[in-house]
Amino acid sequence: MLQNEEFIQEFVEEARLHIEQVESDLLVMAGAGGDGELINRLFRSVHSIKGTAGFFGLDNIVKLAHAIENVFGAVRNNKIGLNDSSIDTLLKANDCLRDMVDNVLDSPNFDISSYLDELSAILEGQSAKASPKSLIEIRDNRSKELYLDENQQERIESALEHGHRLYRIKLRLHKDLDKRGISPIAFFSKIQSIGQILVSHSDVSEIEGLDDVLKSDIEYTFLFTTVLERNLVALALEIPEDSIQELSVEIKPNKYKEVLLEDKQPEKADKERSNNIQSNKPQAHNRKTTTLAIEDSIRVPIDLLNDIMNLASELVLGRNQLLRALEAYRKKVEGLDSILQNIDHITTQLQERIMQTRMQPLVNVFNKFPRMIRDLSRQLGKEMKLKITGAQVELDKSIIEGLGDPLTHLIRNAADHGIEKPEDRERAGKNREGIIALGAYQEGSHVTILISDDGAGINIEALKAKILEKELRTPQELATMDEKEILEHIFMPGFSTAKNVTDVSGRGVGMDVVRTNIEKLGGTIDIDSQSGQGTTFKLNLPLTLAIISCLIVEAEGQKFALPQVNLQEMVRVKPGDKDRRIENVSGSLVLRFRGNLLPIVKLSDVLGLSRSDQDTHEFNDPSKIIRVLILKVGQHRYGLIVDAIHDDEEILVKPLPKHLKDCKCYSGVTILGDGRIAMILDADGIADLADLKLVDVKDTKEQDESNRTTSEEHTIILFSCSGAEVLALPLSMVSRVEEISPEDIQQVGDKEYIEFRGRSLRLVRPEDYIPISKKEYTDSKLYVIVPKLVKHPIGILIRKVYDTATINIDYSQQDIKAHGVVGNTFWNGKIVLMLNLYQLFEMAAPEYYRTSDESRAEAINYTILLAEDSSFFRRLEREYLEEAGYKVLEAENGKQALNILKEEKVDALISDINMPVMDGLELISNIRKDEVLKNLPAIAVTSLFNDSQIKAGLDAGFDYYEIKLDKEKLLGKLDAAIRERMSRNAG
Amino acid sequence: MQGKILTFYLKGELFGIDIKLVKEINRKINYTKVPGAPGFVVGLFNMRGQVVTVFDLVSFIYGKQGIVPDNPTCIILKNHDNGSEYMGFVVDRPGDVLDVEEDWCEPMPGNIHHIDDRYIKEVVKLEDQLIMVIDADKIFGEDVQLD
Repeated sequence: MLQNEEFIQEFVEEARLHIEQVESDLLVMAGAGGDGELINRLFRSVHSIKGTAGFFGLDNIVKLAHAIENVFGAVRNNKIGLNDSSIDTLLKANDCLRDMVDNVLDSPNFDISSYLDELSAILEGQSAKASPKSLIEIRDNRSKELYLDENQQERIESALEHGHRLYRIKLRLHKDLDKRGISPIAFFSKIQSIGQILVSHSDVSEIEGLDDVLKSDIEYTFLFTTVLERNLVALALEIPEDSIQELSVEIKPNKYKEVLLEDKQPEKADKERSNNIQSNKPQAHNRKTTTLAIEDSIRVPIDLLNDIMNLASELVLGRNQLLRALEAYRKKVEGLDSILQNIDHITTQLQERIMQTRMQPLVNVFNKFPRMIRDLSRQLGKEMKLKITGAQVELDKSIIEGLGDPLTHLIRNAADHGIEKPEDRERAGKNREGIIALGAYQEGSHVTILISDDGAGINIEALKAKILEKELRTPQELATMDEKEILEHIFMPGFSTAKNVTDVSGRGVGMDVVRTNIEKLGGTIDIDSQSGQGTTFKLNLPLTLAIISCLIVEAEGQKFALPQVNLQEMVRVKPGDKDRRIENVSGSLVLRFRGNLLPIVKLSDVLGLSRSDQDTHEFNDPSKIIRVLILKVGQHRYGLIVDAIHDDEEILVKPLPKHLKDCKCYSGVTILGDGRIAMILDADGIADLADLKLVDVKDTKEQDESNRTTSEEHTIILFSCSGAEVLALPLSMVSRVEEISPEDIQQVGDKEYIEFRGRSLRLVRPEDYIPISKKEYTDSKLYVIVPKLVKHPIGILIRKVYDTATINIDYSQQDIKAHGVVGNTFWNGKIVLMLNLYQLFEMAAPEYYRTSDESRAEAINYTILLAEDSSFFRRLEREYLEEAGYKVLEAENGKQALNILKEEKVDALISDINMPVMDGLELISNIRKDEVLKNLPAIAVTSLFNDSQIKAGLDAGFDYYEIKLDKEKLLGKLDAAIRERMSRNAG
Repeated sequence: MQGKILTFYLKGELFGIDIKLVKEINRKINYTKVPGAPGFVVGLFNMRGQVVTVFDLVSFIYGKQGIVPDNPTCIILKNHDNGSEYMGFVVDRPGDVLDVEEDWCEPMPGNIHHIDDRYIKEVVKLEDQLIMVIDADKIFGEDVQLD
């Protein structure tokens, strides 16, 4: 019978949740000891399993759950306490319960006797303490006797004392429930909402084989107490009244108590109840009212969700086509504009909401670790505690599933290698108990997970010795590396620093696998370790896997999607360029790049679309510029040549159809904006297919870049103009936000002004200049953002300020491209556009903010090196330098800048002062000391501006000192510096 | 078999498929080739957000790859067992839906050599022509492999 199978499936899902709950509650109890609420919850969880299992005649599950419940019942009544060993027993019994639930049809074959024995042994202590042994005998009117054990007897007694009535209910699953459309789970939670099941009994005599569990309609009998009267019980449970039998209870006041059950006459019941009410009034208020927590959610099959998601993305596509087709009529047809805007808005929201349905809390992976740490403590003879925070943070289901193994590995490592033995810890002046902290938090569109221990940390010297022993580096190379760079080596294949390979973490799986797994999920992993203090791993993961950012590339006229995660950088190779050259080394193509030889392949060759002879002549065609995409796969790098590079696109990843599973060069399929299907390239698979001999990149400079993240943290102010779009500016660029009323705005010509601190301040409305939606509004309050660090202040007129937030902004993802917008990020699930203040002002007030055309002609020949650690400012500065006609090279710190200066021809340097690794002052003094570089024109830029700093900068050797965002002045000074230095050189 | 079949033409010959297996017919589809895919996969196409794997029946029946035009007509099959994956195949042109009686059918005669009879379930004899009914399980089943 199919129905039963469905019910059993529902039971299994439900029971699994209860079992997880029991495990985590037991662990809490083992740690902190339990309060009343906790033990109640434990009791209820097991009770629910027992109750529902009874419907299916799953006898073994009922028996074991019952035995566990008894122990919890005794604890609840303060009859016994739980020690470590009894909690272990309960955990083991709970495991067995889990096994039985997982193999529910096989559960009758499980041997549970040892668990039952151990559980009753826990109760033994209680019996010893208990008053004279008593026995309860329950007889129904046919004298069929039911024996209740002591716990149940007490529960009956206490229930009766509290004015409850005792009923016996007999039901058949199909006859009484299924036909009325009630599922066993729903039924059971109803029962629990109005009363309590004391004893249950399934008549399993009809069940003969395993198949019968699925087919039979067994009779399920239970004793049940509630305050409700019989007809109300029938009403509340939606079962026929004749299946309920009220029982009379007699408690004989002698040494052993006998509870006699009989069909009770109505008038007798009334009498009895009034007695009870009288005798128990004082206690009535003690009873906690159990409220039924109605779970406001439904189960949806994941297939259905995926279908909905597909349809939503189709809808987005349809919307785009609609918008394109009707663009010309927007103005002509009255009302069309707002309808289109509305559809646009709703579609976007719909898609966002559907993405949210796939989100699951991290607790689904985190909850297995407390148990693991408990077990590991025993195994390793260490004292450890796991602290979990942020388990409620949500991630896409597929990412949650992929996190299990890497996290297990990291936590095992922390327990095994990180935390020291208690005696060692004491000697080091630490608490005997080591702490492993597992925490998660969300930042913008990413989630960060931290796994840290307060153990011994990684011994850098031992690590160095190991690196040398494995001949991964030369001693000279090691000497130039900082600690972080050295730590990175543990992610290399086959690296393990533990002296003894232990049973726990020495399973031949290294940190390289952890890193690969995390990268597969589109994430990154970082390590930080302080000797003696502990180690921290930081995982950075995208919120969703299903949508990834891809670069659309073309080979032989066909488009492919290349995930941005794999893309390190794009290199243009011009023929005749000595530093970047494609060569043929024994039959394979390589790119000479920054002193390295990088293997390269042509995408069309790998895919068999074309067959270029492995000759380099096609790359020496002077008219042709070759674009090479440098791809990273773990520690490896290689170059990929494509015919054309298109835009970035956020794509929805679909799985590879089964007949294409053998195509290793693809990781999935997607539907592009034009409705066509494109294959998603798998960087790893392409390298395999091309049979590239990838060598680990040993160069430290490359290492730097591999660790480089293009995102950075900013505190931003979030606001909106007339439309719904959320805009943002870094708080560091905002002087203040003024509240104004619309009447304060004065019109002068086509421009708007307000009075601000005794001066007139020009206002701009961003929606007039950048492509965001524009609406009429009549708010009585408006706001003006007054920016700082600009030469000619202009106020930005906005309608609403949302918040300020510290968000990680990834400037490498330029999904939304528009003049006046520098990048985008996410905040509360909404897209946030970061304004490019400078471009905005340039559009709004060209009279103040314009590059003079004369300097452009000259600038064209100059290459400027921009050293700046903030990618936000780097991008702003780069944009205006490029607009002025300069070629721009970028460095993130002084050290990188110095390396680039040694390799590339640079005409001038613009450098930030505060940078990691090597700051601007150290950089300039290195430059001025260098024979070749000493005459390089150099300008310091900063967002901080005070006299002593200016002096320090100029003393160190900078020609000028400017604030970052004053474009005109900076370009002027740059020009001056170049001229001065040149004339000095000439003279 | 007894019931309705959908007929279609491949290389000028008439074939048929049990209509119960067919979801729809799509004309002038815009498909994407998949470099490196098995020879019998023509490519993938987007059917209202669902990815359909398009097969080349000629590879199976005639043992060599067929020539597929830029915007072919494609018969899409229902997906009964494994949820989200759709499969279809290219035809020269679709024919009619015919009612077929059990006694019109017989096994593939042994004297037709240019056609691989492993993929033909049976032959339906009409008055003036023969319809070769394809064995969809063998072609689209779990382990599709061509030697």
